[in-house]
Amino acid sequence: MRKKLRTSCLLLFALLFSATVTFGQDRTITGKVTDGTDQSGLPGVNIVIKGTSIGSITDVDGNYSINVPSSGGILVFSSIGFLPQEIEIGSQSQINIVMSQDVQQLSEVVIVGYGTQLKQDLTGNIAKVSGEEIRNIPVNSFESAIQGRTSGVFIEKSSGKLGEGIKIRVRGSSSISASNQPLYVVDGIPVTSENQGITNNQPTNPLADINFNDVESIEVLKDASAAAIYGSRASNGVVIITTKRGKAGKTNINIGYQFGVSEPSRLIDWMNAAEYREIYTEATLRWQGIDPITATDADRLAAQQLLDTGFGLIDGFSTDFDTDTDWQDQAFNDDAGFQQLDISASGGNENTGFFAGLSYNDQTGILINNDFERISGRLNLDQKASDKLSFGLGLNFVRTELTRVSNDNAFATPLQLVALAPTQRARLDDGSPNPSTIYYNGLIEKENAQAITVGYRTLGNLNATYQIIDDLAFRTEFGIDVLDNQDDNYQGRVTQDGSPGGQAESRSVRVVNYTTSSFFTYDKTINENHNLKGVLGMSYQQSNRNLTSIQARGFPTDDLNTIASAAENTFQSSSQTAFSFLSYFGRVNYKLNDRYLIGLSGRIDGSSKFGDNNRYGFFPAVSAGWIISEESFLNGSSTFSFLKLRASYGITGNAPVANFGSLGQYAGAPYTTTAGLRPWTLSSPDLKWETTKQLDIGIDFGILNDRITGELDYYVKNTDDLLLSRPLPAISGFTSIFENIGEMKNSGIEIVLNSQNIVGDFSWSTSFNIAFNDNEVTKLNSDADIIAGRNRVRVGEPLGVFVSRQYAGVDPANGDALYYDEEGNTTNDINAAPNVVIGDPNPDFVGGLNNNFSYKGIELSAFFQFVQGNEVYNDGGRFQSNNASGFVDNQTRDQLARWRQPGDITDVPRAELVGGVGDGHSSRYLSDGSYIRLKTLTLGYNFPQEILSRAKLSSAKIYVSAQNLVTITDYEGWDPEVNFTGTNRTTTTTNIVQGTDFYTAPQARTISFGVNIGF
Amino acid sequence: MNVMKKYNKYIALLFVISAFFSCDSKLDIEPRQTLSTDVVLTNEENLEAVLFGAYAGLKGTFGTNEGGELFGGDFNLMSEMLAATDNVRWGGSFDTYREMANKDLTTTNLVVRDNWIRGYDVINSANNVLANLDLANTDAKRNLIEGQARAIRAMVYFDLVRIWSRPWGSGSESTDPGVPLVLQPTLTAVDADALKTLGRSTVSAVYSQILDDLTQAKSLISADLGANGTNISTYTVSAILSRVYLQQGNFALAAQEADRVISSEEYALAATPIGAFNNAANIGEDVFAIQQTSLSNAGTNNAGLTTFYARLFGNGRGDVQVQQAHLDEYEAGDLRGGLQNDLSGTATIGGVSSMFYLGVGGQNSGQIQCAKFGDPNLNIPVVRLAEMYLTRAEANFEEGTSVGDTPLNDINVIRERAGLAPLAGPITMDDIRKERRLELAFEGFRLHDFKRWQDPVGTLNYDAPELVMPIPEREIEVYDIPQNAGY
Repeated sequence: MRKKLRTSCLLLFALLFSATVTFGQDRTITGKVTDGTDQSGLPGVNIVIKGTSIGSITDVDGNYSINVPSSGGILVFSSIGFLPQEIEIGSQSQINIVMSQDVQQLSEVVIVGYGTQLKQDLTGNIAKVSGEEIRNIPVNSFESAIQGRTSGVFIEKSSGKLGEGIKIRVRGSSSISASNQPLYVVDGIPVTSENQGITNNQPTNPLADINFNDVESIEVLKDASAAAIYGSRASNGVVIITTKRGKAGKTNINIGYQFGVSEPSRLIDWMNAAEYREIYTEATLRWQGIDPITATDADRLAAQQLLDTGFGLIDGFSTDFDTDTDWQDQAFNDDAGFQQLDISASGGNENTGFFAGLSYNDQTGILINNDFERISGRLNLDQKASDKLSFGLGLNFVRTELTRVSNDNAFATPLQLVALAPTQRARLDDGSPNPSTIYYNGLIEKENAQAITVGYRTLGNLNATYQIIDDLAFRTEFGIDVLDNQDDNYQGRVTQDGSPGGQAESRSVRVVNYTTSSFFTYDKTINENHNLKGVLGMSYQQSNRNLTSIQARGFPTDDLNTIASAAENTFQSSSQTAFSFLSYFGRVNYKLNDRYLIGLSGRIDGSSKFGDNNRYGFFPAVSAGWIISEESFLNGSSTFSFLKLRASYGITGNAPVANFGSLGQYAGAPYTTTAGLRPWTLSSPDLKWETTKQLDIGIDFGILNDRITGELDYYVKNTDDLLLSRPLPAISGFTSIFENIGEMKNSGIEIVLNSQNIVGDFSWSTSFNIAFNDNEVTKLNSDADIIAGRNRVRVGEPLGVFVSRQYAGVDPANGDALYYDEEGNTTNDINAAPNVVIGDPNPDFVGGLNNNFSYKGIELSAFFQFVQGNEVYNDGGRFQSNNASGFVDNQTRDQLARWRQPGDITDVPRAELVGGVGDGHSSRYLSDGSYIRLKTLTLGYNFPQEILSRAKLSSAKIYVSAQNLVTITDYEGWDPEVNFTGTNRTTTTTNIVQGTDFYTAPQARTISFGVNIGF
Repeated sequence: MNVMKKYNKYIALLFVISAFFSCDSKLDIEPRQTLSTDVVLTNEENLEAVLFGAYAGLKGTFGTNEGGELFGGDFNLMSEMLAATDNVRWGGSFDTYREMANKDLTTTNLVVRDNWIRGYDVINSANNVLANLDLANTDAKRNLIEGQARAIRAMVYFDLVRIWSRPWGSGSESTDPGVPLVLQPTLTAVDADALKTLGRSTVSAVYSQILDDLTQAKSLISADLGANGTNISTYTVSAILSRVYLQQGNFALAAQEADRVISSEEYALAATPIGAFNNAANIGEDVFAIQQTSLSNAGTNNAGLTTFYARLFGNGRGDVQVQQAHLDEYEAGDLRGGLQNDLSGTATIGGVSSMFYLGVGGQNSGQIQCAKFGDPNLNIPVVRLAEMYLTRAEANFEEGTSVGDTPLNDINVIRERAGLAPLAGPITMDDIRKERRLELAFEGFRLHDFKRWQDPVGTLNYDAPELVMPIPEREIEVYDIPQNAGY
């Protein structure tokens, strides 16, 4: 036994000795590690020989050298934020490797309100999109860029018009009269994001001012524990946008340029001149009481003459048989497209960091007269003044210029051109628009009117941090957001609204919004087992809005069209308004043994918007997490590399939109030249925020060494105190008062899955998210529905359900349109059919699927976005597809299937001029609005290092990208992603009206080419 | 403890910052376009401003979507359309007025609803003024303000009760439901909710209130306020009183009040019938007129009298289409019955010299239009001197008196201005009524005169339920207010 032991010791000694000897016979391996995304050298990568402690690290340029045993082995390359790689040394002496970013890594840092956290320590639900992920997507606003990329965040553009407002719903709608949009916080400043345009036009989007190529990351705080620190404005989630900052190291200069061409993503099939003539001749004959089947040619000509000269409806209908105008084509732009140039520099040393960016974006919309231009400059600076004190500065100057088109309900809007008769010419011989079309020819508007909004935006922030002691720091921030919009509209003397002397509007809006915040942060680890993080502070925000607007008419000539030259003012107004929030907030996160997590947060919000009796609200949240994979029974598990359970509950608020909704007010009411005052609103001293109580239970997991990661969440959001107007007896002189009355509920499931399917030279990764949300209005102030067009708010139904008559097809005997009556029988009297719920504009689920492939510098990414289970109501269908039984609008081609003679089986009723057969509101114009879109398809090539070093570049990439390349849907209109919220818009109608199409423009399909070069 | 000392400095700093901000005053932001109720009724200047707010309400200018209510147009249109027979037709697309012309009103008719709302809105303004008269600095000022506020309240109640109740003269005035009589301002939601149990006063109670307000107003407003200024004068009050008395068949007092206006000699008929209309400022004939400007009017596109009566270049929709049967009533040579049929496509009201014309300039062109309201920026006469002559004549005739002058002479004053030969007499009731119908055509008298005369409207008896507007559905839904018969 003893001998054995001795032998063993000897053997061990010999082994050790020989090992030393072996190591003494090392050879040196050199190489370069590069970042797969931009081919730049990657500093600080750890390289170890597997199974040993021998290692090295890459230098600033990504170069390394390491001594390895002559026998070889396996090199393991690892770096935070990248997927580790193992390479067999073999006989190689130079090993260059490309590392792929691990975007879903659980150890990444996530921005939370007033601080940061490691993703693995989160107890709330936060979705993150990195700036890299959305870089260079050819849209003009970051919300469209992240569409489908974050689970539970439903993003919908209202149309394909440029610069228009975008709807975002985080975990469903939770309000009827207040905003349903999230709070946007850019570098610590809650920014102005509301529409600043007139209520009769499509909403504008102040967020389009942000150049998202400057953005480092976008975090969406979804559950109460994440959002409650933003208190009374957190019910709809909080979107935190963090811009890029410089890092120590050499200065990187990047230049990106891309250009592209756009076209409508889908078109509608309209009748041509022959088909139009056929159906309207038939419709007129039937109106005359002549059976179209047996009508003679003379009858037909007589009918055409009746439409032409008899009624004066369709000029040339009985004489011009040659013209065949494609009016849809006239509405779209032949040279739609865009270009974007980004130049940025970033770098710094250990005391200073900077990021400077300049960007130019120029888009020409797919609709005629719709352009967007943005010039943006940014400077972010960080300076360490001493070990204790550091400063930061961020400045962003932006100029945007938006050329707008009329709202969808105006004859002047481009897409209403489709209503015109294809038998009529678009233009006269001299090239001017034909003035004798059946409706106003929108081309007249195109050439004789303009609507331009020029915006200047300044976002600035200053901050200072003082490290009081190791664990405790004090930070103070000041941010300002100045938005200045100038609208100049002119409608020339030949336009519909501008006649006889021209009409102009000049409107200027300035919103100055500033925020100060001061807070302590504390981060302490005690005995390695206890980690305590805390934040305690306060903030004050005030926003002031000034508006001046003047309209005038009567101009000497269309070329002299500023208000100064007008003969007569027709409208003038100026207004000033403001709101303020005074807040105190705090948060504590405690972590025990790296596995038990508890979070508490709260905010006290006071606001000028709240009534005297409810000036301050308290919004607390509590959350807990358990990292099971840290427990001994799972530690080292090959299946679960990470597993965490978390749960949270909290209360958030949603402040009213009206700044003075709680006050009793008198408004000005001048009589002749004397100023008068009239009672305006009754005071509502109890008025306060809407309250949402949200429960979230979730699991985060990583499987197979985090090759597969994911999140699963279930939530319930109960909202009460919904702000609604309660009707009063009008004999009081008031019709309503605003009070906290209603209730609504959202619940849902969110799933996120990310996987690195293949790693190495050829890599393939997939990310997938899907979110189900169920919305229900549970209480209103009466049984009466709140109605906005076809959409309604009804107790027991989701917000904005479609209520109308149920269409039952066509009576084969006479071509009548049929509807279902109370008993479920059919009737040809639309008024005998009850209004019932016919559909739901809210999707059952939404999500996205992204696949990234890369091989030796070639990258392919295909991103699909999908929306399922919602309906779309085509409000324009009554005119576009009424089987020629309305006025003389051109019809969609499917109307050729109309009923013609007894026995015909079809779902399109008979053609009968002004007969109104089936053209009432009904489910006839409702369709499934589900769709899947190949949102972004990008193929890129990163030039290899050899070429780059010869060209003295650090990176170079060329790419081609397609946006909205394919849309798969059953919807027969232009685009199922649609919403026309009507004229005289209010926040309430904007919330209720969903999924409504009214001559609304489709999204653009854009093919672009780009190049990025780094120096 | 060293550590604590270090903390202290910063904790102190936080508290300093907090203290700076946490004063609640930062949250007290006052609106700039509107005034908080509690600061409004605090001085005489504001009291007067609230009175002018009531005037603005009479015109139907202010509101979000609506316009043209009350004297801005709808009191006229409601009367003319509900009494439309073969004299005029509604040729427009608004089903609100079409329902009136068809005598087939629904309880959800928006014009019915908006005028009810607007009427009580103005009444609330007047009530606010009347509840705060102590703010006036002098008795003279106080009387002037009180008189106007009472007159405005009475004018609105008079039309409300005429439109929403069975007519005076049906014999059941003391039991017929009138309209709710609200005489105190609504200051809180509690006040508003309290009105849910108010109910409808009887027709005779409403008339009593109207007469009480007007008789007080008549003496409160001193004569020196001016005759045909833009405000309600003591003679305006007399004119309205003469209307109320006439409606009640109180002919002696009707003649007396009309005579008070005429014999004041503050007013004079315009040289021609059309000259009484489309004026930018009051003229001698205007006893009271709604003042309009390009920046403040009852509507230019979708509301207001011009919108519906006119069909001219850039103005009007030509929806109220006068029928030949009406023109046929005028004698040859009557300046009030002329038809101009040669307007150019770009004609405005300045180019119209007859009382009627064929519309031009767009959809509905070629129909006969009445020229009384041809431009939305020009005044709308509410009481003209001509009405006073007609009222005095009718009342004197009924009463067998000659207060001021004989009925024959009064009617001939009107006829001569219309370019007609004077009647030789003896004058008949039919002569007087016909003259009134033609002179005041399309000025909102038709329904009320028919009811007064107990003449049928087409096939409907003067007191048919179809000729009374329904209480708006939105009211019925909010509280328990009895609906009118037939709805």
